[in-house]
Amino acid sequence: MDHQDELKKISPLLYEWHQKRWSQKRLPSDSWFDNLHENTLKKIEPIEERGYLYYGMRIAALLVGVFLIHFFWNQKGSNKSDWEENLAAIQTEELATFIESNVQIPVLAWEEELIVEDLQTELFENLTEEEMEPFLSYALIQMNEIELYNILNSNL
Amino acid sequence: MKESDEHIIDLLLSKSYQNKGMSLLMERYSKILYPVINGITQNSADTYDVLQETYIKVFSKINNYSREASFFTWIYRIAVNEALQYLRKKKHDAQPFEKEIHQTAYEPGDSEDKIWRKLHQAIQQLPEKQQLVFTLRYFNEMDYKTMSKLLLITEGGLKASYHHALKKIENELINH
Repeated sequence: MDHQDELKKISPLLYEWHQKRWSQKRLPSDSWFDNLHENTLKKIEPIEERGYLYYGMRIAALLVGVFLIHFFWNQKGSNKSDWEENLAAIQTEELATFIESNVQIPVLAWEEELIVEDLQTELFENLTEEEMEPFLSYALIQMNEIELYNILNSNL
Repeated sequence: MKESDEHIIDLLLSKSYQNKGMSLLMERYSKILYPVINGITQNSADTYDVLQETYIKVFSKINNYSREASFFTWIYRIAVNEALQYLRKKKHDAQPFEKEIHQTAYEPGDSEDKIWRKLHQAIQQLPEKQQLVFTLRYFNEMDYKTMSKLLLITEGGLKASYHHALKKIENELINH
């Protein structure tokens, strides 16, 4: 059965409305729809690109994160190794040289109870800020007090 | 129609042919969805925005489509949700409209805009299946055979739904 006949038979009111309304008020023009489709595609493209970019950035961030963790983990291990194996041989040697050439260490009555910290403090009091710079390095801060004691003691 | 839907879905799911899929999707459904959305927004410019948002949502959520319901049913739900959400965003209070359905019945002297609005308010009261069938048949004059393929419902079931929908709407408009 044709839609109009069906409608007329079931609901005369809606048939009447259908006649009145839809004959006068049609869908927008094809250009309206063309414009909609075109603009929607434009809107979707950036989403698609953003999607790739988003996932790309996430993967890149993950890789960078893994690399950094790996790097710092090794770096930490390597520092520790350097410290244990090389620092005494290299940095303490440099420190000793520095002390020997630049610092006039006052003659102290070296006593057993004198702790290295006191000596270190006294030593720093005689240094300018510039001279103090190497002492403030990470390596020195981490330096074992006994090693410092030995260096200073050997230079006294 | 069903095969075409499958084709469109496959294109949308393939990264390389998504734009082609979107073009086919919009070509197929824009004129069907227009009266559905326009009935809610009551405004062609708003309908434009909602249709666009509907397609963007379909595009971004295509992976969620389970293929259990018909594709059009799924799109229809998105379209109606988007339209209602759009109205909420615009701070249009839907409640007075709903009240109005129950408070004012159709009068022969009503303007076309008033009739249009009341008709769409009455449609919103129908169960979803009847809304779909009514929209496709009444606004788009779609034949039952095509509709059957689109909604995956038998022609007999569609005729019954349309009949019930017409009667309910008429009753809603005359008696309330």
